[in-house]
Amino acid sequence: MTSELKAGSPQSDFLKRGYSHEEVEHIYALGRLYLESGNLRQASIIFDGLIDIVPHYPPASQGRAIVALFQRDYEGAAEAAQRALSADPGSVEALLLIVVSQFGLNDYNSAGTYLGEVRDTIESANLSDKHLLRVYRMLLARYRSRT
Amino acid sequence: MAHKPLFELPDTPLMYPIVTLLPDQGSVLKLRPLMSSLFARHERLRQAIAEADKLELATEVRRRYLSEEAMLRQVLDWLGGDAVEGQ
Repeated sequence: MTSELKAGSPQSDFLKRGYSHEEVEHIYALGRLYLESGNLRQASIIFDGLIDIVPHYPPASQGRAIVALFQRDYEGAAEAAQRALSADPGSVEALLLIVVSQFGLNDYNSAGTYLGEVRDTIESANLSDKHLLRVYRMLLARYRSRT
Repeated sequence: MAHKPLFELPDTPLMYPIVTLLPDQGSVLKLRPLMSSLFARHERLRQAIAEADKLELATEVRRRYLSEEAMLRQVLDWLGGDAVEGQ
């Protein structure tokens, strides 16, 4: 669930391209701002660029997944969310994005499996982030109303 | 006025809460002090792309250059536009 960049970790490979931690995070902040304001094309350009220069920076892949979800590109969303999960195994945020993607793909079996993984992680780590729990409950309600 | 049944499923889950999953990192306010270095990086990339075209470098290398260049151009556009106009 930690998605911050750490020097010396595999996530620090962006240093090879000459970008500092701060540069990457501030550029990401612009991508997030574009996304929150509904400018999907601009957000996508920022996140795609970051993914190319910092493949193991989960926030960029999470942002790309959300852009794809808004565009109803569920395959692309699932791919980006999986990339975020690979970069940060156990990330509840990435797992929830995979669940939404699976809903879009009408794969409720997979969605249920990932929701179970989210529940286990929330319980074992005693997570209390209200945004995260809100999305989890929303998706759980969606799942239950479907089955 | 037609009413939708209360229990009819929407096509997709409501999307706005999903955006709150994104981590709050960095600050757009701190991009401006980085403008000159980002501009210089953008210039170098444009030259690298021109070289890649001349040398017919592998498509993947060129694609990555173009992706990074587009990202930097978007950042510079947001910072003011003047920096990349007329190129």
